[in-house]
Amino acid sequence: MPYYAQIDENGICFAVTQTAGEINRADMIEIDSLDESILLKKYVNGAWETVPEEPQTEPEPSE
Amino acid sequence: MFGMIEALLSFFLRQVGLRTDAASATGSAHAKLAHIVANTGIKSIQRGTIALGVADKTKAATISAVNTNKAMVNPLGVRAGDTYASYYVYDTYRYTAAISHMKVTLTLTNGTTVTATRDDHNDTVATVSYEVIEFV
Repeated sequence: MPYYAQIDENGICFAVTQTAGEINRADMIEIDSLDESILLKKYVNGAWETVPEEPQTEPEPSE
Repeated sequence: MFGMIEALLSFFLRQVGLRTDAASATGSAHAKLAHIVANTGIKSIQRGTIALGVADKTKAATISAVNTNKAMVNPLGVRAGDTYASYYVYDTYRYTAAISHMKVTLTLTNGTTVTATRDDHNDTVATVSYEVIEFV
């Protein structure tokens, strides 16, 4: 059973799936295993790159 | 007397049938057993994990086609970071844990789509794992 990483319009992986059969879609990239470490990474030229996190800001207290 | 025994044996043989009988819901016992074997059990299992990013309330993952009338999606768990919310009481700010971003539901939206949804993202990532089981 094949494994796929699914990417969004920005190339960010938002799902990894072990499917029952082959799927031919541009946003489904075949991978070797159900590797969750690539989630939220960006697919660039056949490699997975970590996306820099947005700087976190403390929530403003609200009344 | 002999003819009656022969007729009875013939009747039982027709009811039991042969191991080579083709599967049939209305045939011999062998044929019915073959029909049961061919029409029960698990056809496929698919597994996956969906990541809801810091600004995502929903994401839809693609799977191989299943018959939604014979399939179910099982949640295997959610992982998410901690976060908190603040509120103002008697001139002081107080903080409480915010957990709504962890409350994720899974839906077999159609035969090729599993959708993860939450009401709030709280600027926090959540990953949800699932399996889709399709029966014969």
